[in-house]
Amino acid sequence: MTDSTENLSCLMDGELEADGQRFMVRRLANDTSMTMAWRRYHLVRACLHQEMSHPVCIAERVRVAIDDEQPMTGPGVSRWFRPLAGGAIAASAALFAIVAINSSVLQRTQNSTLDQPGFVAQPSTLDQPFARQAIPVSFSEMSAAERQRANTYVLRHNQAAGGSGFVSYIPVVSGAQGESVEVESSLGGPVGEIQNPNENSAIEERSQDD
Amino acid sequence: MTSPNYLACSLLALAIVVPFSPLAADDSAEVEHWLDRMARAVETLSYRGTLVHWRGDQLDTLRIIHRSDASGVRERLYSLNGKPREILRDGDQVRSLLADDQPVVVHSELGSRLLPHLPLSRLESARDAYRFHLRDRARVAGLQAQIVEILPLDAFRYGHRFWLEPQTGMLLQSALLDQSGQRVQQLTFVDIELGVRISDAELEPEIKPDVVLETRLNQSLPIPAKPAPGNGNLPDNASETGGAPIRVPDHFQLARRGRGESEDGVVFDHLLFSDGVASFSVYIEEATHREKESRLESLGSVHLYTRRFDERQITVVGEVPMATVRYVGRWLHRASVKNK
Repeated sequence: MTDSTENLSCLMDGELEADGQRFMVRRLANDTSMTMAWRRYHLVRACLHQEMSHPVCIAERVRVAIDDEQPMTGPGVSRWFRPLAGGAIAASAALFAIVAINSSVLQRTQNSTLDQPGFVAQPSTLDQPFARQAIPVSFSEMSAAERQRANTYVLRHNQAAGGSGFVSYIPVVSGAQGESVEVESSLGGPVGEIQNPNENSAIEERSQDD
Repeated sequence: MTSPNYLACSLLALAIVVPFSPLAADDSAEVEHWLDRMARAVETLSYRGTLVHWRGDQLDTLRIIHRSDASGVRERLYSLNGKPREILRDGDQVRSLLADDQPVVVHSELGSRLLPHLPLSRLESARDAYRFHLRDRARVAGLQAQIVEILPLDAFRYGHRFWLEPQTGMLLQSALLDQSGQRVQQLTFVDIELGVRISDAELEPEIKPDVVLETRLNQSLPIPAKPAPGNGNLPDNASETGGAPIRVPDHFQLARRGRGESEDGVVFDHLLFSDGVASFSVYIEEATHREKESRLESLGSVHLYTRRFDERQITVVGEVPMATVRYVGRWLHRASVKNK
């Protein structure tokens, strides 16, 4: 282990002195390879601690899923067959994950589960636009003007709400540029379903009924 | 069934059910105490420190300098990597100084900041919307920290895990959680000095703009005494949204009504909804352009929905999942279609 990687480990574990911490943070801010290493360490630690869900952990999640499966002990299932069956389950689980991801990105179909029960009991003419499929037409980052406008609304909201002090302003100060996903409804109506509410995206819709 | 057997079965059923009921594992009273301490510490202590913020594949290092004394609260939060970005707070005024952007100043004349001083007990809906847990202690930035956890019960709000310094209640680390308890983003102090003297020079920005855009929150309006549960209706002037009430996800309540003036001099109405932990705002203002579109946008964990309704533009914004702003936006759209 080199000095820098060892220091990085110490920083993660909170074992560096204050001066050392400041020095490492400055290096982190200016050294891309070290930043990547920092991220990798966090991912590894998160996986080890089972703290987060991330593609890196998918093998572990498949393994857990296999462990949770009922053992096949019925007639005609021999002992050597079990690992093979486990592999097939893992493969199908991985395939399902890929299909699910593609479906969510490409189709973005209406998902009514986020609407609360009783909000709209029966579909009506009014609901028709919501059932139509939205088609993503372009992917891009939020423009400078969009970001400026969004920042202003965030500042206003934080000033009115108070929130958790400086923590509320992190989204404005952080360097993240939200990805934009422009969605055009095929027959008018509002935007299609967003599969991942935590996704960084801006979704634009244009509709005939506006 | 004889009565002794019936009694025994009932007791057995209770013994099975009670330990697994959500209330049995809830530490809401203790967590509320910790949250109150955290809010006071973050605002009333003087401190400086370095923060690491992680979200997805983005890693940022930030510096916070916060001074609280007899003259009030002054704060400077700025980035250490990438383009220069700063937020400066001075009392009820906040300034954003971002490279390549027009600097913006927001003046608040509303008198008080709402949420840090609002005990959860005054918004009982929080107890129905979240589960509160006191976890074990851990070590952050060389200090011991008490972990408190707030888990959402639906997809319309984020959860939080806070690492708090036991003596002061100061926030040392925080994680934003989704409904399943997975981390969406994390903010960690890698070094922090508490109770320090902060000079004026430390609070001066590096970016010195010539011109700034100013927007104001300058009028607080009365809110209805008892908003309907799960339905934050506009209280006395439904025409502000085209004659229709605003429907919001369960447990959010109208917490504040106000009026302000944008940087272009346009007057806007403002509704603030909160469930006691999360909050979002609805801004209603005169549309200034004819482009017919609606937008759904994200700034990290903050989501915005904007849509034009006739001559008005309505913007929903808050640190809530995309599902929440979309829910409100869709309701507004339905209401506007009904009214045509």
